[in-house]
Amino acid sequence: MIVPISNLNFNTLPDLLRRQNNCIGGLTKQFSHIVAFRPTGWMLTGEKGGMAGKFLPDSEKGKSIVRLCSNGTNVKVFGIPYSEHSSFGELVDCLIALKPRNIVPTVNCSKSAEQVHTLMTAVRRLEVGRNSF
Amino acid sequence: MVRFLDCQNCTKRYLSISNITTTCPKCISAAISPKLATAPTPELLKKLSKLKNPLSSPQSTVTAQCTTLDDELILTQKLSQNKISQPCNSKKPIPIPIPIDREKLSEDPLCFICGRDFGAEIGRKISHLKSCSRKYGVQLADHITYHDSDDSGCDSDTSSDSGSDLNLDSADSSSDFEKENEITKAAVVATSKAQRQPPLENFFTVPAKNINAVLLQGAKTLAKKKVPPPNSNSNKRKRKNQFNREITRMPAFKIIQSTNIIVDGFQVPNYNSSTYFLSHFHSDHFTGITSDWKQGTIFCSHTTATLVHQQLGVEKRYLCPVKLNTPTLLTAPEDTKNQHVIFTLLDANHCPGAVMIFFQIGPTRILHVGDFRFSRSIMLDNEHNHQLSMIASDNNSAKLDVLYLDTTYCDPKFDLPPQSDAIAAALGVVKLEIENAKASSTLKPLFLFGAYTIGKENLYMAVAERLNLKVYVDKQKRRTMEAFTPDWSEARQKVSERSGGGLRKTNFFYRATSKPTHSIRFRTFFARRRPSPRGRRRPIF
Repeated sequence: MIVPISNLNFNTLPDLLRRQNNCIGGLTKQFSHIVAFRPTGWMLTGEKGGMAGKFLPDSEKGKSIVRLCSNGTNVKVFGIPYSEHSSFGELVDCLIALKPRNIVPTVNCSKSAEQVHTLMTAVRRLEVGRNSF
Repeated sequence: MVRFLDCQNCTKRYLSISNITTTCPKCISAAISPKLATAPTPELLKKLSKLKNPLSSPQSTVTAQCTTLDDELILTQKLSQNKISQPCNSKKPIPIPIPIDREKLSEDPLCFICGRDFGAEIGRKISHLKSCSRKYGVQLADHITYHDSDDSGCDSDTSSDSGSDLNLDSADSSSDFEKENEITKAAVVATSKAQRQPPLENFFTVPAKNINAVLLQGAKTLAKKKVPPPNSNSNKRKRKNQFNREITRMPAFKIIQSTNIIVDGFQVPNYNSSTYFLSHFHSDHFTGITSDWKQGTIFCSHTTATLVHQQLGVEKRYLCPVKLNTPTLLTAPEDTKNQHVIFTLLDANHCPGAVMIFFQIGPTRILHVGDFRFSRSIMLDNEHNHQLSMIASDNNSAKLDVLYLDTTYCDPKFDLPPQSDAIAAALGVVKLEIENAKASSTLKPLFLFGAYTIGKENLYMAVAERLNLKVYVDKQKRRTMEAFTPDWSEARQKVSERSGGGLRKTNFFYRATSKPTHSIRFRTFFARRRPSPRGRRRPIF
């Protein structure tokens, strides 16, 4: 089921589960718990949303990319780094490919000078590395 | 003009008369104290004389244009002095309640202010006089004579002496204390002498049984004289203006360089542009578009145009859907400033209908990415449009001049995995949960996926497709999905509104928990049970 991403918190979800079960009534088997997914890139830092939780252990890498946050009883919220924005590496890649003369940041514009600085230092570092090979 | 400014030197707020100075009088006088010693010019004295009587010339009319630094300095000082010493400045003197002699009033049936005849109705006349005096700013004390009118000319200095004439029940030992009280009261009254006052003897002519009553009456009179703090109106106006100023300024990053073309900026009312671009249908990009949008044409992709028309109610004539990968000539000479502008919409790999806009303004090339997830395979190896790949491959001739970049994750710590990895991770979690549920008889998980108005479709559709599950959406979301799913009948098998079962009856939005930040996402839904048809009952097994 699809719900607004901001509704994924421990206040709303138990309520949602109860209401769903009320509607189903005794006809079918009732839902026992909720497994929710927060697909956003912010879950990597836990800055926005506040539903940080711990990273799940992974046998291969030691740490999985999925974060689990649970209220202990009937709600589990998994943070998934599924993002539709460019990651930092992709931004740098874009700059290397297109080589723009000027960059105008359109998000968090109060820090635009810093943003351009961090991007350009990363680009320069990469290009220097490439030239040395 | 008189207005408040922040001093650049000591950052205190001060009253400025003209725009000449940017520092407060204290700072200036500290800097140029010898200049002040010179005698003020006769012109200035005239201005000051106007200021001396604030009742005759209210502050709002003080528009004396000061030309020199000294003039302003002295004027500001004078003005501030006036304020401190006369806190009761107001256009109309406030009438003070005084004991009215009824016998005297009954003799004269006419209202001495407006001339209305009352006959024998004294009660009405008194109330009429009060309202009339308030209306015309006349003080009853000036016109009504009292039975001992000889004492009316007494100064407030003598009031302390006359305090002993009071018919008091209290003991003599407390008379000193009372005297002190009277003196302080008289002093307080004297300081607020902006208006003419009824003589203090009014208190004493009426025989007072109780000293408390006398004191309370004085306190009440003072309390009624409360005047709103000066310049409260101008403060309000200023705050409102500041608020407006923030709205009326179009941020520079929303205007395409050397033109008047706006991308994703709709908050500014009456902005002098008629060419707008909307990169995609997310609330932070379309803020400002309402159903009565009339400012100009919005260029966008077909999907976005459908959504804007359907969800925001914008008339179709203000929307201009443009095909992807098709160079289009822009014919709006005012906004392009008579330049040859060709734009192309390119896939942004963000959400359904999201585009990047590639402008060719004469020789300059500008790319506005909107919100995008960069991918070389999608953007540079585009079969239908080779403009970007040409820029990327050619090192010398074709260069990108300006790049409007989506810097949401502009920090090295955001090292996001590819989308396929994220989908695989979600898939793994769902599989694990289903296996657990199959193993035990009591478990039955309800899977929820958070999403925006549009976006994240690939994730949940991929999971549902792989595990052969259905996706349940509410009515609103279904309408939205219909807008960008071209072959809905095919997708219908995967996405179900489920009207027959229980899921659709409930809603995911609750009044208590939802915060109305985005109008569309939180269009009010309340959980309401449908009344069951008459005669039909729920089957019991």
